[in-house]
Amino acid sequence: MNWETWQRATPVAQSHQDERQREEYLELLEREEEHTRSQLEKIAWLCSYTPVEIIAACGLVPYRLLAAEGQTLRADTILHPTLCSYVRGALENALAIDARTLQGAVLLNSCNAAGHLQHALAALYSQKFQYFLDLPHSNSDAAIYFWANELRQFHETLACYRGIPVCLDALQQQMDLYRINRERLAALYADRKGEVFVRGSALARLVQASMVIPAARFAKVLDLFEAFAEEQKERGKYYGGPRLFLLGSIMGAATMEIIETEGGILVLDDLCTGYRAVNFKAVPPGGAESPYLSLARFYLGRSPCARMKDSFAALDRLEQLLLDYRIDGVILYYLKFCDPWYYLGQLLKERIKHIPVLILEGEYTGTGRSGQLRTRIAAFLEMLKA
Amino acid sequence: MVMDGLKAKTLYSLGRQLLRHPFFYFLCQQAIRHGLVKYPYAARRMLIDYGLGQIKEAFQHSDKLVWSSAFFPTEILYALGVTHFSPEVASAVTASLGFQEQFLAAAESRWWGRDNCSFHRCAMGGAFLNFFPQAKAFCASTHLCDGAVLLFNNLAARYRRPFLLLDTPLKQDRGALNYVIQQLRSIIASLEEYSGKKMQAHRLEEAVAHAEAARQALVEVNRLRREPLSPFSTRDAVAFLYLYFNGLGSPVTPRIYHTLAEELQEKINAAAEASLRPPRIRLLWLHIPPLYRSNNNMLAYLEAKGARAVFEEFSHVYWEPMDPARPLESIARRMLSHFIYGPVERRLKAIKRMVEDLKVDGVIHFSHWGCRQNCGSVKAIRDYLKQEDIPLLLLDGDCIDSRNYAFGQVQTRIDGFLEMLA
Repeated sequence: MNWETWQRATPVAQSHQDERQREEYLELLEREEEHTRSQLEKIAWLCSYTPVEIIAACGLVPYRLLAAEGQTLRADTILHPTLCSYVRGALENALAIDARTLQGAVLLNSCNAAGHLQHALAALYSQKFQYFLDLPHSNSDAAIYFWANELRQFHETLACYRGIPVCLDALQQQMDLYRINRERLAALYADRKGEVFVRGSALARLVQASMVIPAARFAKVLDLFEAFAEEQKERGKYYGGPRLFLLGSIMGAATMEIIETEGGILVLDDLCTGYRAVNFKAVPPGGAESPYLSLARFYLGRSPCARMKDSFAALDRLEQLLLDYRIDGVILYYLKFCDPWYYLGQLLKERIKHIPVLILEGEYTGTGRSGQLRTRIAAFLEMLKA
Repeated sequence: MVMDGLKAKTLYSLGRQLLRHPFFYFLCQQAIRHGLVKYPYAARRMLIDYGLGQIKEAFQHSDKLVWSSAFFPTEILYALGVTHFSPEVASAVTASLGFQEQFLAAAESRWWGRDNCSFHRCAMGGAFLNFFPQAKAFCASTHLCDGAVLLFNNLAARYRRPFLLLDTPLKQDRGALNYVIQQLRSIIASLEEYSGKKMQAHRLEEAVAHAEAARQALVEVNRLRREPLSPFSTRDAVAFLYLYFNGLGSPVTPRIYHTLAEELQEKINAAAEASLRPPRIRLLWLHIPPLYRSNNNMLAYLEAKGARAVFEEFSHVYWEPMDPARPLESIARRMLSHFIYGPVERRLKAIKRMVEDLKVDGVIHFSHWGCRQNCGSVKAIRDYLKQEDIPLLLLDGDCIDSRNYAFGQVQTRIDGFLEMLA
């Protein structure tokens, strides 16, 4: 698509009906998020490999502890400055929120920084439930069995903490609920191979809400979003501009906003707060297999994070993905001190030969960097349009 | 000007060819064996000879060579007769010879920033400059840091070679043990395929027996290092870490440690007879000290001030005796028991034990820039040692990259610390 075509395809002004529909959706989303925040039965989690189904099956609300955007003054006194700003921001957030509203926290050995955060949170929540899951680095059969055993032990420990028996039916029910939500979210992403009718940031925002709102309640939010997206599609109101693929470390909402306000169209992402969090291989529900084994297979078989062994080999499939989604440019954003994405990014830049790649390094907090970020993104988009 | 450039390029190219030629290492070995280079310990001479032999082998048999990460179980490589090369150790050697800047620059010119670990960045530079032998496969274990796994995964994908990962859980229970054993079997099967060699059970048992002999000999060395008159400091010991990283499973490793123990005993006896005085202040060094050449070596400065780093945590023997009759289980147990891997409490416990055993007056924690594992534990270590009333000095720096070193600052901090301890 050349620049003239893009100009013709600039977003159509929102009509009153669009606006009303959007507001209705946002109102419900924020209300549900607020409702979750006020819940006392929450378990904080950080990594998208956390088996939220088990937490929910124990009658608790799995609540993703995202990082606070802004300065991390208190967390910086606890965590070393060479750990990424996401874990420091998450600790800052944990220090800021009312500890009475949390039952505890579940962390994974996602990376070195997560391990150190776990130690810090253990001190902070010394009287609460704490669990550290040993996530394998591969999806070999041995790893799947090991992970399944980890999940079983976690379920038993959490049920014991709650004083309830382990209920596999409840677990299966939650697995189904989360699976359906993820499939519906993945379908929204799949729909973006053609024209884009909903902003990428809005879709990522929806995925993030799915990590906070309990699955059954989230389904209603999803209904409204799907209706809104369908309406936009029917009216043919698509967004025009350079079609972008965004990937890398977890990032604050500000970065996506900058990309979109500068005219980029976020068609697809590979973020653990975006598409990667819902890009699971379909596993048939039920069956004779233990739910832990299904869950283990499900999580380890998903689109891999850069810390996983398979992530580097997965780069070979990237070219096809970029073709499928008709991507004009790739933006890799990695957090300063995030080693997994840093090392993967090195290779990604060399592997993608035919599509321009912009590499950005930044902080989750975005403090003091938005001007630089905006300039670089604007220049990249200008190059794509030229 | 042009001629100078050409001359430099030619010399560089010749130098690289020379360093990649097995005969060069053969000549170096001969020089050492014939006493052309002097060492304070015969064990050190044996160590250098052994290291040169390994690198010679690596260039000689590069068609069967694997790269292994620092904590990968080398016992299986020795048992299979597979030559291995450790890029992290190569970075350390490069820095100690004073060539690190060229390697770091090569990596940085290809978009490798300075926030990641310089051991890995330097290794990447060496690979880019084609100084290192080519690998048939890349073998890494997940402990201790993310960086090693990521470096090896990157290299394997870059050179389209297999990546064999030993995913070591943080837990130490039966499930974790079985998981590691299963992976060891699978890695051995893959290595058999790549090397064309078949693992023989008795060779694996032998390798584990050698590793156990090395463990026992190292325990003896460490016992002698506790003696107040032991002259063996962290400065001397750093080179011997090569054996821990690269030599477990080899028959040479226990021989070197035995020789070292004998020499240490002799030196301690001689010091007692000469009524020498022990160092005024004994210190424990956490992490690895800077390895690059410097006129202002911080360990030397400590000694000039009457203090001595008498031990470094990487020499700590943390693993249980290994049983050659159960080789894979023994290796798996060693893998799982690393005291710096997993909850920080394991490391704190080990530090406390080392402080007590060695009767040190204080601890120095060297925060190697780019090491998330090490730097991230600083607060926990600080809080714990404060609670235990053990003096601690935190020094920031870099083991490989000398550009991050400002001696003036270090000097001021060391002076203040020693004054407090005096």
